[in-house]
Amino acid sequence: MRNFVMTSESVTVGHPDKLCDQISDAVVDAYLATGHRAGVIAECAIASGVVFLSIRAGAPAPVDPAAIARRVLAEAGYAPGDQARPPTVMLDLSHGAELTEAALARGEARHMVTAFGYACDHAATAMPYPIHAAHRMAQALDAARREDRLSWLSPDAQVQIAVAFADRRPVAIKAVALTFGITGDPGQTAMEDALRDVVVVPALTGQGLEIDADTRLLVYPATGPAGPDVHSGLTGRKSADDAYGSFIRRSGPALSGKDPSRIDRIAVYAARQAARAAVTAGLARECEVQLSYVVGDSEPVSVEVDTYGSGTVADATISARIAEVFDLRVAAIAERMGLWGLPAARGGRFYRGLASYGHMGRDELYPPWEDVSLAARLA
Amino acid sequence: MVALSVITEPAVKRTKSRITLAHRTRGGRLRLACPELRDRPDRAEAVAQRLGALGWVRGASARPLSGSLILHALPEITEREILAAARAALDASGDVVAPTVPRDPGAMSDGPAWHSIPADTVLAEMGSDADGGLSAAEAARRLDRHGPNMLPQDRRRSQVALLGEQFQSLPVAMLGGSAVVSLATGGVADAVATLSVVAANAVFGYVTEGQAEAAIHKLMDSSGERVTVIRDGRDVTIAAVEMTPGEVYALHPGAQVAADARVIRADRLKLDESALTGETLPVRKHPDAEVDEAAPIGDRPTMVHAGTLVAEGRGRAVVVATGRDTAAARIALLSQTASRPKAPVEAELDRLGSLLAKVSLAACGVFFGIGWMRGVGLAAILKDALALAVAAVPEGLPVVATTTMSLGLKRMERRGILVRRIDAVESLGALQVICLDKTGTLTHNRLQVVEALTGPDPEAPGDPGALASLAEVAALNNDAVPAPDGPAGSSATERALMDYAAGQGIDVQGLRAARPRRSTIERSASRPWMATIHGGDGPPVLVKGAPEEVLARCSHRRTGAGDVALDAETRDRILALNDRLAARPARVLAFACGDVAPAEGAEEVEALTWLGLAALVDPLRPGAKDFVAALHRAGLDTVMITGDQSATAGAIAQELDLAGGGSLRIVDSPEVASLDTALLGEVARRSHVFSRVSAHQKLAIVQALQSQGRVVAMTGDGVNDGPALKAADVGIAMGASGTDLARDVANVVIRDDRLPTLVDAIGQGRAVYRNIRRALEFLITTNMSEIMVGIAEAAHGPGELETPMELLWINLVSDVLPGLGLALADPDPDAMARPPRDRDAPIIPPRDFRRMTLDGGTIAAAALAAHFTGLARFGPGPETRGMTYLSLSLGQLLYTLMCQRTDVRHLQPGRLLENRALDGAVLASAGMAVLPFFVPPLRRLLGIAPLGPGSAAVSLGAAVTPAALVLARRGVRLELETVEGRPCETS
Repeated sequence: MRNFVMTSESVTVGHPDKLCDQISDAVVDAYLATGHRAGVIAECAIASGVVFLSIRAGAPAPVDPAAIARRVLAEAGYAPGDQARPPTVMLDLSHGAELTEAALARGEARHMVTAFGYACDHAATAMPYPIHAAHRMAQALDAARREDRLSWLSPDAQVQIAVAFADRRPVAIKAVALTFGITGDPGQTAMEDALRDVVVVPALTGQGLEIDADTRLLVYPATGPAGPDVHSGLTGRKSADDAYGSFIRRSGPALSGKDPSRIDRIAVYAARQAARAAVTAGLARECEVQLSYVVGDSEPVSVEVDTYGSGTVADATISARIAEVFDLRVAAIAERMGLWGLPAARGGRFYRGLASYGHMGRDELYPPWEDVSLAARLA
Repeated sequence: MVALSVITEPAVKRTKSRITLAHRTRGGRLRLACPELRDRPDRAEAVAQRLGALGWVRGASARPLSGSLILHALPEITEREILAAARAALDASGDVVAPTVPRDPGAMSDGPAWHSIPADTVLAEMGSDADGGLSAAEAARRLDRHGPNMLPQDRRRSQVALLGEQFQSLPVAMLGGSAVVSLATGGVADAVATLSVVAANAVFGYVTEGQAEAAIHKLMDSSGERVTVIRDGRDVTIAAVEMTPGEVYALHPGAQVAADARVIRADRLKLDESALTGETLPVRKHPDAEVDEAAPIGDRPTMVHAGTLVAEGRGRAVVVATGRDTAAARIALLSQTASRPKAPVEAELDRLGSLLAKVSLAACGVFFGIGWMRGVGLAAILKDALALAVAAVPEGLPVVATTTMSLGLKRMERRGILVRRIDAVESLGALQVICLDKTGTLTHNRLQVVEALTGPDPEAPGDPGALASLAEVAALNNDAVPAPDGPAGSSATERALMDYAAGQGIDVQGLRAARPRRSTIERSASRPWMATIHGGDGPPVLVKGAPEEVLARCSHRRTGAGDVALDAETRDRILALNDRLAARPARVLAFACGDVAPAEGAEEVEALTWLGLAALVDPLRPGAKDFVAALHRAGLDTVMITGDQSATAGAIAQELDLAGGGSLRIVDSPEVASLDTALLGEVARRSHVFSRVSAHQKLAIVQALQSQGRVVAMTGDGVNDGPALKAADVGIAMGASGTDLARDVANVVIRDDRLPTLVDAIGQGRAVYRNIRRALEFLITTNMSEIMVGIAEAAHGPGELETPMELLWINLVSDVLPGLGLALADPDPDAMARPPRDRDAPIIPPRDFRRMTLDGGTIAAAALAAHFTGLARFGPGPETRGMTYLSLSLGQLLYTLMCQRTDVRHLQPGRLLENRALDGAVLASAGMAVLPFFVPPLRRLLGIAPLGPGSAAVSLGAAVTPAALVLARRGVRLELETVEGRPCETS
């Protein structure tokens, strides 16, 4: 028996780290939507309400980064009101010779990367249960605030969940912790009741596990509205939330703010696609795919699979089939998934949507890496 | 005095005993005791300034040590009025403690809130009548009481102040000190000679600065400005300075508002308040609008303010404040509280001066010791010490420095750059950062529509029907007035849009007749769009404004296939198109129309049909890029300040290459001033562009840069730029397009607004510094030689020392002209290809000091050779002194030629005579040096005797030797260093 408790967390769109991710990806969206095919890297930090945004691109593009940053903040619920002033944005725009279209055409990995992808049968989205549940609650928090069902809730909130596993299957929710900023003070009990009824219970209903008498619900309101005026944020600091909530191994680099020539971003997507296809094909109940790339190569140096003993065939067989069915060359991944054209095809907004509530298992956004039509060829 | 009583009422209630009258003389001098001001010099100064700005106060000063105020008031003002005014000033000064943060002028208002009082009440209060105005007699009476309608700064620096400032420099103080010592030891002639130099120097500076002042004043003389007012029921045109409170002002398009006035009637009256508030769009005025008492100055539709311009419409307003009491004047007062740092060279000369003073004291101490050991009497010791003091002080320095800077000032003036204070000439040369206004400075400030698109497709203009409707909206929803020679009135944006409509073949006048405007929802700071409701055939509601706002109010968009509903994706694509156009860079406006007219009095529109976007561009001036490149070559950092959004600003910055090829850093902030100072300082040092910044935040940027130890220039033209222009090391105002206030507080005015001349001016400034430095080197080196000669002589034997008059003659007569000659050198050809000097580097680095000591020693050794020859022949006495004098004075003169290059390695023997002015100066000075030998009274004054041919030959030989030795040493060094292969430094 393999029993353990796994924790995962998710944050709302107004969390400073996630604001930075969204701004970074909104910049990538804006660049690519103009038909930009050179590289672009956007990194963002927020401190004391000031947004620092650094953009390195291989070619200029007609976008207004400061306006994008403000738009993201406003849409996250930090609209400049009568009192609040529009935030200061400090931009650092530079040209990257290594990011020109010609330089990218070689289709080689520019970084050493070991990327992990995973899929399992915990939820319909093939995501591990803890992160799946955490994201659902974060989404519910945002929806409740947006629809004014929790008038005292500020846009900045965090959800954490502890789930007990038996034999690598989720069996019980041990605890749920909510940390959030508030405007006004509705009282601790009122908040606990409202959050249980409006957020936690609806979000977890029908997802396999329910909260019960043994589940601890921990509610920690901040002393004020929190948000970017109070605590700082940085692109890429929520990389566990972006992926599988620490359920499996993961590599460190940020996903947001990178164009599709960055192997450290797209290899993660490719690995997820392969893993989900393997699970869909019934080759395993859960499947972790590990892709490793070496600088200067266009193909991965290794494709490794671990099914944690749940495979119906040998792990080595699965990895061989994945390497055969999926073209995992750097340029081929972007090509197959249409990663350059997606922002334009989706009205200028694709990557930004992924920058909140995780990049994986987002079936409602139809990301190409959740497409498992190749599963049939794996079986 | 209606105004006064209203001002002071609350203050009286609150603070009864804070100020008491301590003393009043019949002549009108008062002393007020005010314990709150004790040991608060800043606040005391602010209170005194406020009181000094009142019409009936002739002079006000503060004594923070005793906590009192000294006033000179008109005798007819009562004690009660004086105390009340002082209390008001004290209250108002409470918030000027931090003198640097610009406040909204409305918040500083010390008058009644006229803007929130109904028009009729204001008229009654002012004792005026909307139709009749004032009577001529009453107007004259009021003018007498309130004084002319002039800005407090709109007067020249008083002549006395201008002259007084000339004496406030350290070298002059040193000269004064040496005159006092001369007098004390009985050297009346010495004292007179020294004081004449001081006087000549002051007059010279006074005349030069006076001329610059007059030239600037001529530019901004607004006394000729005429305004139309109602007097005795008739329209009368009077000079703006004659306006008084209570006057009824007739406002018509194009009129410059000359006083603050409460609007009593308005017919579509709109004012351009950009000079005051930075808001570029005309603001609608309405007499019956309800305005909160605390409304900021930019948000008072019931008021017109001095310094603004009637953009369109007509109206009447009753004047409530003139001259010093206007909002513009209060900003001017704020400008006074910002202070300009000392010119860098001044600070350095001060430092050098104190060093020289120490050297002088030390030399005197040595002297004293020698005399004491020899058992010489006190009087004799003092006399010797004085001779040495004279030798140590470079008396010619102030003259040379003043002249050099004045000449620089004159040269700049010929190029169209007026410099108010001579030290600003050098500040220009020391500039490290220059903050540039985008609009008007880098661009023409002439907008034109360059593209119109229906969206969302960025490549195609879209449906022609929608674009035709867009052009119609541009013509109808427009406040400009069609005129035969192009649209008139309103803002540049409106005119550009009307031009566009006409260019699309629309008969604007015909269309306006067919579609009369029924009502308007005005654009405002919080509503970045404007809607007009029209009659006639077509959609009744026409809207233009900020794309995001207009789009949010649209439900459909017009296409070739009729109106289709807008979905989220199309909205996003349209916004992306907006960003794309903005990044061209362009100012983007959206157009829409609607079928449902809003209810009467409603302020919102909805369910509009999207027509498209128009992009307006303000093209760069042709030379702007070269100008920026020239500044970069000269090692200056450029910071562009603009109200544009970051994409527009970024694109212009790229076009201008503001980042010099590196990564471009933009600070996009509507509220720079609210940022943490340390953060802003650090950020400002590394930024190239400040976008979305309004004029009143420039001060914060200037101060942030200065806090990083930079020498900063700022350009500006609006009233709101005042504090920033005042705080900058070099405040640059535009002579042709700027406002008077900007020109008044700036220390540099560009006559024709052409910035490229500034590059020249900076080159001149650098040449001035270099020339002063060389003259300084020359003067100090020669003074050092005098000290060495003096010490050697005094040490060798009694009675050998030169007389003070001899040394004074050398320092004042024979050294000044060559110093000036050095100062006249042209700028180095590469002056603008080198980085600015380090502000903190000493004017004479230790390395150069060592070389100068060596040179001084060489001159002294040669003179001493002559001295000892004379001593052997004649013993101590006039003949020996004559020989020493001749070799010392001529030796110094020839050495001048060696000072043309700071680094001896750059001396080229063939080019020693290329500076004709210097050659002339050396020749003339040589004449002056030998003159005493031929004029017996002078000879007696100097205490020398005529020389025989042999003695003269020895002296002349000794005079040539130092220059020859310097040249020879240069040859040796050059050879040595050629062998070592070290690159030559530039001098």
